[in-house]
Amino acid sequence: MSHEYVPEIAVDRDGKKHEVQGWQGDFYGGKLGFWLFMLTEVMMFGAMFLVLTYYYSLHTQDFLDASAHLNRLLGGTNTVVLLFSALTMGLGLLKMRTGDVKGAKTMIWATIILATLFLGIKGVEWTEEYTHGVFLGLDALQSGNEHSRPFGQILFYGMYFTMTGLHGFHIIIGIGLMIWLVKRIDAGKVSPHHHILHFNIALYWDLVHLIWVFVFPYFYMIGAGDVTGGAIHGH
Amino acid sequence: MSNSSNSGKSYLEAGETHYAIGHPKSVFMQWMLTIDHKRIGLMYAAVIFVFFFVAVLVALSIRIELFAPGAQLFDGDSYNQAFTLHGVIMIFLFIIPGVPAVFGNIIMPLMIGAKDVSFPRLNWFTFWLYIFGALIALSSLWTGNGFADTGWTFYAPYSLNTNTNVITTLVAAFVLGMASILTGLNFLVTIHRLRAPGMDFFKMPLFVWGIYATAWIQLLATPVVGITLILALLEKMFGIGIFDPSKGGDPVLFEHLFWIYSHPAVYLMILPAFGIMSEIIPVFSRREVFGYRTIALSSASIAGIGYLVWGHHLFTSGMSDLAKTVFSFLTFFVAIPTGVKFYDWVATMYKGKIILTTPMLWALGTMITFVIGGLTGVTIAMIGADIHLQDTYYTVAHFHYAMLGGVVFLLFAGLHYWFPVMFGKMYDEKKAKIAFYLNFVGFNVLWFPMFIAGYQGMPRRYFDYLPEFQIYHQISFFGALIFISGLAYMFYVLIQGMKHGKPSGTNPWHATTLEWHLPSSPPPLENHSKVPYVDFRPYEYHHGEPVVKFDYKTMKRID
Amino acid sequence: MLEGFNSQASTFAADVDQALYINLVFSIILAVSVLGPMVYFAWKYREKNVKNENIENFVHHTGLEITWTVIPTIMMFILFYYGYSSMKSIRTMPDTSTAITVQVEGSKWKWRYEYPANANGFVHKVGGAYTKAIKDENGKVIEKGTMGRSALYVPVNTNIILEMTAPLDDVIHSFYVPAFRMKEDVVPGRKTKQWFNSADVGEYDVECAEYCGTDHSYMYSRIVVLPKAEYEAWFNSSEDTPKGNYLKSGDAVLQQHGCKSCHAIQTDKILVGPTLNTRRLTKEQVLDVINNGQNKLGYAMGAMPAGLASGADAEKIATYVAGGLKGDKPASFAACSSCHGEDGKGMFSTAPNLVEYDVDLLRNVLKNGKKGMIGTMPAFPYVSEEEVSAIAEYLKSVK
Ligand code: HEA
Ligand code: HEA
Ligand code: HEC
Ligand code: CUA
Ligand SMILES: [Cu+2]
Repeated sequence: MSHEYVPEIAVDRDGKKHEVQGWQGDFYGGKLGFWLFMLTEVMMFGAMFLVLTYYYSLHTQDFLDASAHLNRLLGGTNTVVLLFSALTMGLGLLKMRTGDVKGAKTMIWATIILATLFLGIKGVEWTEEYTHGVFLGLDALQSGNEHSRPFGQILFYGMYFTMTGLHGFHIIIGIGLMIWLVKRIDAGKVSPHHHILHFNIALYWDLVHLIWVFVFPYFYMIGAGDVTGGAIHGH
Repeated sequence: MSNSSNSGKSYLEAGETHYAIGHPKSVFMQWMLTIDHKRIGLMYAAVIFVFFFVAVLVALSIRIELFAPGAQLFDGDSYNQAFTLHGVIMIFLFIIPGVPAVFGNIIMPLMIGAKDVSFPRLNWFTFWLYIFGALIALSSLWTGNGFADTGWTFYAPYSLNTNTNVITTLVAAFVLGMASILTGLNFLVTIHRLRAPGMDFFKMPLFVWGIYATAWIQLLATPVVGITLILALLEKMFGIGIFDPSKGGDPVLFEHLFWIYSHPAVYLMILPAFGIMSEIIPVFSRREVFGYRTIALSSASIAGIGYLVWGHHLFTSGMSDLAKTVFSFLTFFVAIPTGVKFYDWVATMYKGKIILTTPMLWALGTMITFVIGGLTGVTIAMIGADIHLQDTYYTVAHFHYAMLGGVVFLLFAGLHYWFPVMFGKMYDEKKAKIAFYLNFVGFNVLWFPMFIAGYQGMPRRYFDYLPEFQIYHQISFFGALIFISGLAYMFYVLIQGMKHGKPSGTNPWHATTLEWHLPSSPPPLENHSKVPYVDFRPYEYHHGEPVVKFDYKTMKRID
Repeated sequence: MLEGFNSQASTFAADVDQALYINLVFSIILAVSVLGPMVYFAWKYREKNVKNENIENFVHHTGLEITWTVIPTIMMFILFYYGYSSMKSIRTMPDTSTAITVQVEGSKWKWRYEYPANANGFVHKVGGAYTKAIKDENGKVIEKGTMGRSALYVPVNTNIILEMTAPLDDVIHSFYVPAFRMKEDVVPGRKTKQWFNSADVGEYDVECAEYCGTDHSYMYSRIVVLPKAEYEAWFNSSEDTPKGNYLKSGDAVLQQHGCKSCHAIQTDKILVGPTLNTRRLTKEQVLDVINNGQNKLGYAMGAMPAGLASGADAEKIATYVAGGLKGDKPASFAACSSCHGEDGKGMFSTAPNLVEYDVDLLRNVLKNGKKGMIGTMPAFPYVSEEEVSAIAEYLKSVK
């Protein structure tokens, strides 16, 4: 697509001219497509939240107990990190629009660093949980042995690892996308006049942080009233 | 993509395509890398019919097994794998991609005057994603402990306990689901963005409305089943107990999540097929369609209400009576817009001139079979009746009448109707009609007895049965034989037409929509050499003649 | 028996059938309202018949559109109502104080019934998963093994509540009785319920209607509706099976004791155990296997459980199996065999082959006699109904 796309013209009976929308360079089409894609993500996480809510109503106490053992300090820090990254991403897009390509790139790099930080903290958190024996596939999350936790807790942690894992996966994809974006900017393929890619990745990042905004209270905060809270305690 | 010449060459000719990557010389690679919506559609058609053929052979072996009580071909376990294979292929590989992937791709952009879909590269990617998913599904036939034996519904906890290769099948269904989502997304954007100037939503052909409603279902419902399958997978691998009662989970929750998708999925199958019906009826009645707006909007309302009725699959699952009542009540409301469509089609024939070409025969035949399929669906929407009929052959006959006698029949109708657009040639009408009659008779002999067997208490997924039911299964077997001959003959006639058919010209049926106003048939790359301005309704006939005429050089109206 | 609609053996079956009947009538009306005009138009406006200038673009008619929306909607409301009301009569549980509550357990691939304790404190447990017989040191059976003997015995005209579940590590099944029009899933970890009340003494099939794996197709059981006195006598005893004449042939006894769930009867196929279609065993040998079990032939399942049947039933089965699975010959057949031969296959120029005769024909001939080409068959007007059917059963088995 090296050459500029020249729109075709359709002429009606009165001789009036109407521009034909081509699929090439269709900024709004690209935007719409991405919004729709985001919608499927919402449906996917939405279904999981539904499952979670259903089991919460069945095993409320187990859920609260399990939630109380999550590390709210690290989780909270991560929430702040992610909120900041959303800010840098947004600023980057604003700068791109106003023509400040260099500033935009700085902001994207800042986002990438924050995202990596998020993953790092997440890693620390998971490792801590792992050392306490709470992890997918370990005895504590498998029913019918001496270490097993009550069923509601197994389910809670199971969903916790599934959903934060899936969310983490989205972060990794996001980092990949941003690095690619920087390359496209360097190659001149993304510019203030043609920044659909930048726009969509920013949108994607918004969704990633939006999902976290639901994940955080749901997993970390419901058990916050419990005084035993803090880091996971082994048994 | 520098090549945008419109030399009037057909898209089927070597070199006439755009590529995803590079500029391959070999014709084979040109097809593999093509991003032309028409070629992609044709490739879907080829692959889909190969799968159809496989699933049909499995169906035949099922019928042979059921010819008499006791074991003929299979023992219990291999029979269970057989109907799972049949169901999985038919649903996930054949009928869900079916009409949208084939005609949505080939015809829909032509109909709205677009040069391609909105994201042609994504379309290419989606096709290969589909192939990838299909290969995973098939690979489970030879790896692990054999193909899944869960039925296409994968109910927990059975699917969690069985040691057959359920994991691969679940992954495959997930990948195929992704492909379906992306197709829907692509079509939605295409329909929103790429309509020819002047064509507002109520000037779109009705087939486009069908695709549009379907695309929304693909987009919104498929992620739910996707995540359900993922949860089932995690369950199998890590055993956290989401659906496993021995660990405290709830298997009925799986049923809910499964049907939240799979019920809308049945409308995902039928709506584009109804779209084909809405194209064929006015053209071969040589008049404007009756109630354009109600047909268009009923598609949307079927898609909408269709989200709210999944519980009718769970009438005997132990769900609360109140929930059953609500789901049953809502289910009846799907029947009403469907009924409205049927009355509109029949009214379209009133004072028209009915030309019984092969596509029209298929369309009218489908009216008969789908009315039976739909009305028996209404029977099992009655809770009391469904308590008796659930999981019997009555249900099996219902959904074969709806899917085979509805969707597949209309797919065949479309295949005949758009044959000239796709290949620029004509099949032998007389032979094609014989094939139709064979199919129609065979189909009814095959499935009607099953209503009676089910009514008398023949449960489904039984490889051996009480001798009382033998007579029904035997009639059914002979129906299957007739049907097979009919289908084989139909494909033979079509393939003959493809190879040796007479050139058809661009508009052999005197149809009005834009896919018949192309510079050549089969159409060139990038379709309409010039995009027309659309200031007319889709089916404008006056005294049996199309109203709108174009000068094909400038695509200006000359009537 | 084609139980699905030839018999309405429960109180609510008639409601369901009424709903289905109304549905059928409405369906026919609706189908005709669409297909009638369609076929008529396709014929009336066929290509030959219509000149182009007579084609009319009739695209809108508010009256019609309202009609074909509103009338079907009303019909749908009516159908909904009947679906709902028949569901109500199926699902409204009777008062537990007037009903017998039986615990039902469905597991791969057996049904098991547990009754409340009777007056003597004995709890009937019928059928269910295989358990080994417990024996004392002399090899005498103390507690019987269970396997397959799964019939649900209930008294006629009584409300029966089934409380159903499946073991936690099992899968979903569904308890389906076509003759009663009732079905409900049996879910591990949940307790589902259904009830019935049958006014017809007889036997009815129970089928598993939710796919559950390998032997889903064989997960049958029976509901035996007994006269009240017979039921009471059984319930207050500690017998396996009720006394009484409701079972007629050896085959039914095999069925009832679950032999068929492990042994092929008609073919030579090896299921869990070897086929019983063999004449190489004597009655004593068979009786021995039934009483004591056996484990020497090296089948995967291992042992044939001991004590699946006992007493007269065991005798009857042993005779039946040893006799090559032919119905046991009723005493009254002696009168026939003098003319028709030992096996009922007829004697040249004396009497014809009876093998093809069914119950009705037999009854008729026995009651009235018959004059034919060969000679005269005397009437036996005092033969009882039981004897007629026993003879018919026997004839069927020698065929
Ligand atoms: C293309 C697929 C398709 C379609 C279109 C339908 C359409 C309908 N289906 Fe069907 N159905 C399936 C595919 C489909 N179904 C499958 C695959 C299953 C089983 C899955 C499994 O368990 O494996 C199933 C199972 C199924 C069940 C569950 C059965 C059970 O397991 O117990 C029910 C119950 O309500 C049901 C109802 C309906 C209804 C009310 C419609 C309605 O949409 C029908 C509407 C159509 C008409 C009514 C006819 C035309 C209209 C008129 C003639 C006009 C006048 C009439 C009226 C106004 C009523 N279907
Ligand atoms: C689109 C969906 C679809 C279609 C078209 C069919 C078509 C057929 N099905 Fe299908 N069926 C299902 C979807 C479908 N089925 C599903 C979802 C299930 C449930 C599975 C489950 O329980 O999990 C099911 C279950 C099912 C059962 C019940 C199994 C059981 O419960 O025990 C049976 C039994 O007879 C059956 C038979 C058939 C037959 C005989 C056909 C025939 O009508 C097909 C006959 C067609 C032919 C014979 C055509 C031959 C064609 C050629 C020779 C041409 C060659 C083609 C080329 C050259 C390209 N099917
Ligand atoms: C648990 C499944 C099961 C059931 C139920 C069952 N059997 Fe068996 N049966 C077996 C097995 C396994 C063997 C082979 C035992 C061996 O290895 O010797 C067997 C062996 C036999 C044999 C010996 C066959 C031979 O060739 O030596 C007879 C006779 C027999 N069974 C009769 C019956 C009868 C009668 C019943 C019903 C009351 C019955 N069985 C119920 C499993 C079963
Ligand atoms: Cu138990 Cu099917
Ligand atoms: Cu449904």
